[in-house]
Amino acid sequence: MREARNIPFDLAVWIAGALAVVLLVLPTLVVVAMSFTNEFTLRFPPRSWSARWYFELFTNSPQILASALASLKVAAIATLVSTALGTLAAVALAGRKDRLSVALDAFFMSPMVFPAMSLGLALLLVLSLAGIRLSLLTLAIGHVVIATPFVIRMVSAAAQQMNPALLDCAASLGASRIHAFFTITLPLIRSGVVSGAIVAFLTSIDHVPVSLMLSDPRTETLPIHLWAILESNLDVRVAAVSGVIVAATVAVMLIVDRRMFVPGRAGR
Amino acid sequence: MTTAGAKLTISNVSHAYAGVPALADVSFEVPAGDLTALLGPSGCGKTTLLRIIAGFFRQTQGSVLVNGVSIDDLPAAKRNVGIVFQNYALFPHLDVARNVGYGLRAQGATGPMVEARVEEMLRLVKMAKFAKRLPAELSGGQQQRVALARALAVSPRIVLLDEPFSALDKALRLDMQIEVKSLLKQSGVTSIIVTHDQEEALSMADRIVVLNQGQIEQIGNPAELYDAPRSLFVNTFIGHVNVVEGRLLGREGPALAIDVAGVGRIAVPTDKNYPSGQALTVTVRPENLVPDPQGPFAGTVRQILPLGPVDVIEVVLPSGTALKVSLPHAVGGVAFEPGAALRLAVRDPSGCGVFSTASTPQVA
Repeated sequence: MREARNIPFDLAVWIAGALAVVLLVLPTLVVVAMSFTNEFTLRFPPRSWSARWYFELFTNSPQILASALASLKVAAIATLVSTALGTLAAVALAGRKDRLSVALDAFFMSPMVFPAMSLGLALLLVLSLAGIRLSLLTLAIGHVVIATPFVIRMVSAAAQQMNPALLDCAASLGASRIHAFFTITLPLIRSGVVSGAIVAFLTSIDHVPVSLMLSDPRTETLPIHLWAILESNLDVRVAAVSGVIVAATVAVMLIVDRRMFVPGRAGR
Repeated sequence: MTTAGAKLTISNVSHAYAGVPALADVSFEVPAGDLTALLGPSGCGKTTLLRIIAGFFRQTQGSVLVNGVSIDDLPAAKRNVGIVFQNYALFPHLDVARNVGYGLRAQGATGPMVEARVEEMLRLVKMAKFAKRLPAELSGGQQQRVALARALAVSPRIVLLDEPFSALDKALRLDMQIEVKSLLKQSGVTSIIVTHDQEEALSMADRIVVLNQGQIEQIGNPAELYDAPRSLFVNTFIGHVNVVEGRLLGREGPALAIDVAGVGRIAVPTDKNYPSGQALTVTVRPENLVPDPQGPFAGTVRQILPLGPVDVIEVVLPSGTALKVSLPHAVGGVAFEPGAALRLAVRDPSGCGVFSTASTPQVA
């Protein structure tokens, strides 16, 4: 038996879907297509095709690779630290409704709504007042602040699904709180922690405002370096970098999707 | 495999949540190896008491003692008090064997020792075949067996069962009650079963503590509570009961003569004494009423409920009071039709309860 069709509703869904394709997918495809040009300028469609700019990128672009490495380092540190902090905060706050918990939650979330530019500026001023010189580490600190709220939200969603009686039960069986955290809580919120870490990494890797403020003159992150290249000359290698990032993102998503979200396996 | 059960003493325990009292000066003792039920309606404080005994929070006043030693300062993890939760709270990511072995491993045991104990427990609860299953792959009854095995595996001194049968369907419930009772008795552990279901309490427990509004109404074995309830609350909460209002005429030997509104004079043997003219509530169990052409209760049959082993007949008195009568089922059904006139007599007046109307609050 077929459901009666709701024509206006279906039409709206189709239009929204088409808009998403046009705005999100098409530009990405255009950039990827342009990166495979054989010419020296960014143009669409390319007149002749080659992978020469990818070759160029990996063999003859030390500055781009250095900025990519800096971005990866910062993102790695920011991901590790924000995942650890965000997970602990989310687990501690899960299911609590007292005033202090609600206030803390709002406080931890504030970097999400606070303008990142002001946040970066504020951090810059505080660091210089404290006499701390800018480095990769100060940049990573800024990224931790930006990324942690995402982790907290992801882990909270998973932690709220957990039956609180499980922890009471573990305690009654003689488990210390730390033992229960590692054997019960962590396995059950794993999907939230992994998604949180991925979002934290993605947030860090292409974050611009805080990086502009907090990077020292010698450390340039990838997005900032790409912007600098685009400003001076329309280098096709910028498109090649985009191609690499899109490919890597798709690959990670496919792997994570397989591993994490197979029905029945991910901890409820 | 026997665990030495311990004597549990609840000594003048009171608890208040942010100033709202939940338990008021509760004291009782559970002898080692005994199975005691904490029975009461929701909100009576029974779950609060369970969580205090388990050590999940601390009572405002009073003391919990095991074998005469206070455990108030011990955290839950050090109390050696096992719990079977209402929805079993099995760890969903661990298989049956890992669930049962969790407590032993958490306490530092490893390897073959844990495995041997897990195997023993699973055999005890007849779940050995399911050792590798995840909880989601088990039925309700199987999950309960695993929860019990997990609680008993660490040889607790006391086991608490929180509404353990409420999630099971009725057909399975009685079987599991029989099984769990025999497992608890076999293991020798001291057990407390928290329930709002009086049938469950009556069928499982050696002794029942009836709680109402944070206070103990009565402590006794199932027969005492059923036959000699000390308050109208206990009388109406445990089993079914008919309630009629009357007025005391006076004492006649071993009995009180009571004028029941719209029925007339009935005599109820009791030791209790009230001033003449006192408003009284008289209770009579449905199985203590019989059709009798000379009986004092004259009414009209309203409906007949054939429940299987008994037929329940509802009889409405001219005053509007409805009485339930339960008769052992006779082949061919009940001989009355709805609308027929019927007179009832009390089979054994000593089984009636008498309470002063003013002082006892009634069960909703």
